[in-house]
Amino acid sequence: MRIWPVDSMRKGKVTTKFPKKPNETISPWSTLPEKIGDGDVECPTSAIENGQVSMEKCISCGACMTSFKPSLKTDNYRVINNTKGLKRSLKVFIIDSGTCGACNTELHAIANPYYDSSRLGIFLTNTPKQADAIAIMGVYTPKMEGPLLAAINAMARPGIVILFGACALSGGIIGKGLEDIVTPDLIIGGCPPDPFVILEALQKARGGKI
Amino acid sequence: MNVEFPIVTGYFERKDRSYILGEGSSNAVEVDHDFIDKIPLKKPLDGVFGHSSEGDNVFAFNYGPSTGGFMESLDLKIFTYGERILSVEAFPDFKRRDITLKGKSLRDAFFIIERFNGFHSFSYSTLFSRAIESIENISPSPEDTGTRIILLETERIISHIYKAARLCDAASQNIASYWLLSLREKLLRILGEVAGHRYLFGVNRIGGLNRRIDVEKLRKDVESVVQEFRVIMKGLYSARIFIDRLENTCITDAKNTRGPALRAAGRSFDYRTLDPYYGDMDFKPITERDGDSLARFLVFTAEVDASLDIIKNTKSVSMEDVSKDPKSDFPIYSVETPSGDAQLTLKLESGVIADAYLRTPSMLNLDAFCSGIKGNVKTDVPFAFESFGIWISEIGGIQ
Ligand code: SF4
Ligand code: SF4
Repeated sequence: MRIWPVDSMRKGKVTTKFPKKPNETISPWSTLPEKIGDGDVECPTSAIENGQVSMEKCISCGACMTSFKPSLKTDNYRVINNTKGLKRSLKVFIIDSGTCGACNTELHAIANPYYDSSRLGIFLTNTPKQADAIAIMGVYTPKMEGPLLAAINAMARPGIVILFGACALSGGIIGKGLEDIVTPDLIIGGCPPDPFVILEALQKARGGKI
Repeated sequence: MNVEFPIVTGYFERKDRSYILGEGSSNAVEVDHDFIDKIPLKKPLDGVFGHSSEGDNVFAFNYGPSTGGFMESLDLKIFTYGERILSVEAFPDFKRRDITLKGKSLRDAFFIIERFNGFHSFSYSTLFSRAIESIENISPSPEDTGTRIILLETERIISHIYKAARLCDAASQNIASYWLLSLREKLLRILGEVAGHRYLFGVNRIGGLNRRIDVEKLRKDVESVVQEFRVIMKGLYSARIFIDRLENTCITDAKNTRGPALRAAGRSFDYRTLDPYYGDMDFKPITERDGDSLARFLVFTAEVDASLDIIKNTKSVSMEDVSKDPKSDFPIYSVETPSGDAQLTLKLESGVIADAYLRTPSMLNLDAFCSGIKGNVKTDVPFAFESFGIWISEIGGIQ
């Protein structure tokens, strides 16, 4: 009989060397679109202003493809406050305020063997009390307001508050964003954000080298 | 008029009139208002899940709404006097998004539906597009229809692999879980490459597809992932500890479930056998009998192979079903999502959505979980839950 755990090891190592080496792939339309033409574009979330795309509003729909193309860059995030003291380990707690499910699974993806965030000292945690970062995703929903504010308060300090994905940043096309009730240290754009973008954003926010 | 359906799977009320949706039916049927109160699944259709329990030493153990244990926000009240579960009440409404389609343009409604359940976004965007195409007599090209089927089945394979990974994780099969997560990642990367988005956002549109997909590459890559999947399954099917944990856990009958959970309880219903998209295919639903977590696992893992067969055999599909689609007051449009059939009714007025009702599989599967988990122990909760493929995002909230 074949021993399948051995089979799994025979597959070899699939883990990326990112961010030391370039990212192997990226989900094209989850990156910020950049202008390539002057045709009229009807963006469903009015994310385009003066030829620039707002990372808060872009829902990665591709409807602008006649005049924009995906940048394929990993820079779809902005660090608002650099947080020191988290270089050794960063534990992330996830709060789903009102997602479609894809932001959740993309953040979880950073722990799969292809990204293996643990090699960078980044882990997911099940409790906000042990967390150094809280990633809040999805649109505003009244019943989640209390749990999410309680989680932010319970987080250890120093800590990073992250607004994650277009829904949380602006409401996207689904509803109201969380920008009025949460003051973020880091925002990550995309619908949903690509795992490489997430890794780079977390590294940058904790003051790590890219 | 009063009618008997084998299973009433949804209902809605409009202007003092009541309508029900039956399993596999193509029209909503008007019924006397009294009939609605007798629908066995009325509570979950109204967003009420499970029951509380009372008695000496009975207490409610609260799990949620925000724990790492579940992928999404969900609150469970587990009634127990120790380890054994007396009953469970579920509250999925913490993250309820109250999405309004009424009054939206078709384009905006399309983008919203695409982001209704992002994990099964292609199933929902296809359902919505097909409804509009039927109403407006639009025929997508045979190539686009064929590619839609291939993408629907790829999404199903990804979803089933992910369910298997979550189930293995919950049952402490870590090597299998990580390996399965790798396979899922491989498929997401393939979709990113051939379709421009890992979750297929922006690929579909009303009337066809927005992007040219390299179907041959997709076919080849999916096949190689499924081959690897089979190696893992071979190991899991003979892992005694794993099987023991799943066997006899969270037994449900076929009355209150949809999708693989329904088929695992012995009912041979898969909307794909009625769907004109799959018209010429020799496709048979995969069933098991026992209705427990093991049966669900066996059904959805076998469905991975069935989906690969469909992907391999689908070329272009000439759709005459547009004209065959039902015309009545409230026609029902359906799709077999990876978690089960979803049913949609839709009305348009002057190019905007005038009315919509959407019944999703997770609405009924969450209820099936709540009733099936009675009598099990608390540690069974995670993998029993994962065996259904429930997505909280698709429970409630569409208007
Ligand atoms: S991808 Fe969609 S949301 Fe983003 S800028 Fe283009 S049209 Fe607007
Ligand atoms: S930002 Fe996009 S992927 Fe994330 S929850 Fe919203 S719709 Fe889903």
